[in-house]
Amino acid sequence: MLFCSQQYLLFFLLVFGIYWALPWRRGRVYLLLAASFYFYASWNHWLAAIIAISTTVDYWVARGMQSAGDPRRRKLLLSVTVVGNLALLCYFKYANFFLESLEQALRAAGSTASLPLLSVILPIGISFYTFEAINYAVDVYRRHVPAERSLANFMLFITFFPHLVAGPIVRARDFLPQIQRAKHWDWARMQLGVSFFLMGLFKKLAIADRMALFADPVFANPEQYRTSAVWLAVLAYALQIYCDFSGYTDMALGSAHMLGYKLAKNFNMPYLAANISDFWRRWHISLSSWLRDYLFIPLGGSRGTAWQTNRNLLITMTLGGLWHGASWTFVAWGILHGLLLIGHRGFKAFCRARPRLDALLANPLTTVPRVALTFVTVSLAWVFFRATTFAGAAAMFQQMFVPHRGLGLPLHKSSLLVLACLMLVCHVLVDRGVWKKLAPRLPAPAMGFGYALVLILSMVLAPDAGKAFIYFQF
Amino acid sequence: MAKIPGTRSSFAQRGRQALAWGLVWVLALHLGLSISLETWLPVARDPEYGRKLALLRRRIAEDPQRPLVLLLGSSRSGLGVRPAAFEARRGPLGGTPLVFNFAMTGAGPVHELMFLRRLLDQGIHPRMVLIEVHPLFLHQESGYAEENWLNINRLQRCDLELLARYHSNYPAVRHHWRWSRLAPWWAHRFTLLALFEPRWVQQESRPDTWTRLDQDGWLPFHREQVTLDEYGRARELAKKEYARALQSFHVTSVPDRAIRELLDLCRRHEIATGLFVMPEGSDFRSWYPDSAREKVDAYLAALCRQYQCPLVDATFWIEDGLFSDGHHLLPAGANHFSQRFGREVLQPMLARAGLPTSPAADVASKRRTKTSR
Repeated sequence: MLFCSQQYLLFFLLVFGIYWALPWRRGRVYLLLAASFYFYASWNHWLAAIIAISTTVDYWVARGMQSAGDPRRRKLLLSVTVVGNLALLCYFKYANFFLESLEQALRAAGSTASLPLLSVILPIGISFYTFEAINYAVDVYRRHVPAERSLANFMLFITFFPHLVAGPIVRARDFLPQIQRAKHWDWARMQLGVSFFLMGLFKKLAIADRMALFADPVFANPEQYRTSAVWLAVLAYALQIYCDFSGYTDMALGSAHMLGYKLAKNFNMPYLAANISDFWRRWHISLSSWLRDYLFIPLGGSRGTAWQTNRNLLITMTLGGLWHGASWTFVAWGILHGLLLIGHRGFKAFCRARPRLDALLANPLTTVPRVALTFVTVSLAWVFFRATTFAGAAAMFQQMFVPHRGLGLPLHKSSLLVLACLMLVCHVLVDRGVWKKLAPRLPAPAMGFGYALVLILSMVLAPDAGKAFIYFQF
Repeated sequence: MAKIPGTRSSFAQRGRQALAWGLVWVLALHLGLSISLETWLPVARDPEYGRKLALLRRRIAEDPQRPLVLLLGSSRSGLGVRPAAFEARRGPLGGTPLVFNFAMTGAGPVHELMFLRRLLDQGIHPRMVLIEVHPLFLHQESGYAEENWLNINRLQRCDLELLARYHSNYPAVRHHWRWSRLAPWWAHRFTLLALFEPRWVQQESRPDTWTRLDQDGWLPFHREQVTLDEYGRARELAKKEYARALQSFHVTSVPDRAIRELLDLCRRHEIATGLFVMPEGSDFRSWYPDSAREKVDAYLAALCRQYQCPLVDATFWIEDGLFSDGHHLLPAGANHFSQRFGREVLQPMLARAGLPTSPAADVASKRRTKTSR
């Protein structure tokens, strides 16, 4: 059930209507829980059972941790829940990847052994809810949050349908108190929710799905296309992945707001980042902060020597890459970002020792080229993310950097360029605070017309229906 | 009481008003488009039908007295029948029938019946209808059913009653149709976008193909010639699409009922009818087992006997080099076929139906009418 589908619209309207009609707070919690399981089961009933079992186990283990006084027992219980969740993730997501990689390694060593592949389907959203379960367990262990007493509340925290399949990765300390809080109908919040939802819908339907028309055929057969077309396809993919994922997040945030919940912000105009470090503070914020808090810092963070810090960064980003998908190209993407972050750290230290250079880089005039350089770097890294094999990525780079003749883009480039400019203008307006000043001054009919226009344009510019969100596969 | 700007209640009031206005605008825009599609913008709902209807109306308006001969059929006829080639000998007096190609992509008996019903509802009353019988559309089972070509977004309300009788999953059609009516901006997005910026629409969804229609509804194939390679690829596609159905060929109930209802409808409205089969290349013909060809021939012979309408089987009329894929004619093929069709089929049929066949015959017929008066 995609957020931009007819089924979701009907489902959400039904849940929304009953939710606000129910006078009891607990009734609303149970309604949302039932709706979330229905939402998840619409993909696969059995996978809904798996999530139910794993959350129940996590709930009881956390309760055990809370009541246990013995630190060793608490550590043991933490290990049980972390290992259990990671084992679940590894089995469903990485088992075949590891088996295939092992087989390839054995073949490279001269063996003719053939390892069996497991017949498993990837539970949608497993990467997101296992991380949520882990951060809850770790926070309970660290006594940052108390173990939730109500199983229904805990299950809702994990399975709340707006964030269930592709995040944002929510933290227990942010979400659980919201369940306890009484919800009151608030028109301003409804407006906020509708605004978020429409913005996400536009990003997904009008931009991401349209950009896929440019990127998909080129990434499938790069050698057939001329150099300029391949560069434009990379630009299209950079826009596609941002609008697809942030569009999903906006719709999730919007749906949650309309039900009285606030989810964490996941994007902050990442393509306006002036360096790679800034990019990771703006891109998939809930994941990067999770990786920082539950991986980078426990590894030692930046407390040790430069070498140790760089090692921790590389490990964190490599695992972050692997988290995205069971493929070596994702690992390469993670390593590349790790190296870029290390390079940026080194460059920052280099500049700090040269105040004039530092001042020059801090000058607003140099911001535009720095933003452009960061964007190009990130876009080139996306090639590893999008290509399914290294050979595919290599073919893309070859077409990009060695001039080639060939086919033009599969669709006229005007829509790509117009939408890219539109995005840039919107980013600048928001970044400069123009929208924040303008929006409250707009009369209600004009604001209403804006909503209607965004909805209609989302419909008209959508190239096709039912294209799944990219991050659903993670 | 006035709300103080910046307070919680003023935000709430603003939010309520903005959302209410948004709803009003959405409803108004959808309603506006729905009305437009029904009145002055039918071409956005169904570009092929809309353009052909507009052309037909224009042709009728040029000389409303001319008897109308309407040709119904599939893309084979749409690309292969060029009415202008029939009328090459038309003299300055006018009065010969207006022959209009109303064939549509993917149209078999059910679509042909649907289009004729629509035209009659709109007050367009042909004197004669020439109906293409596409042999493959006589066998409509699962993957080969004409309903697979049905674009539900393009249906009119009056079509639903017909589809209730012919569609295998009518409730789904009705459901989809209602949604398309509720959200016309979504249902007709490709045609609407193409009206403003055709380059933003994918080639396969672009409706501007129909701008190439000539004034009599003929759609020339987009190329004059195809290379052997292109022909081979297109023929393989056609083979993939049709050859398997021919192996288990039999006339199924849906097309049989539809074609009979179409002939009954014509009879009730005193419209003369004729059936014809479009040419096929030797490759295409080779995919028919003997039994399939015999079943088609026997069925059509029995149908024509029952309805006393002429049948012309033009399967063997055109040589292979004039097809783009073994069954769709290139422009040269269309000219060649249309000239022979006009000479050997149309004129005898018109004469049989008592319609003028040429300017001379038309003048004679007018004289006869005056004398009898």
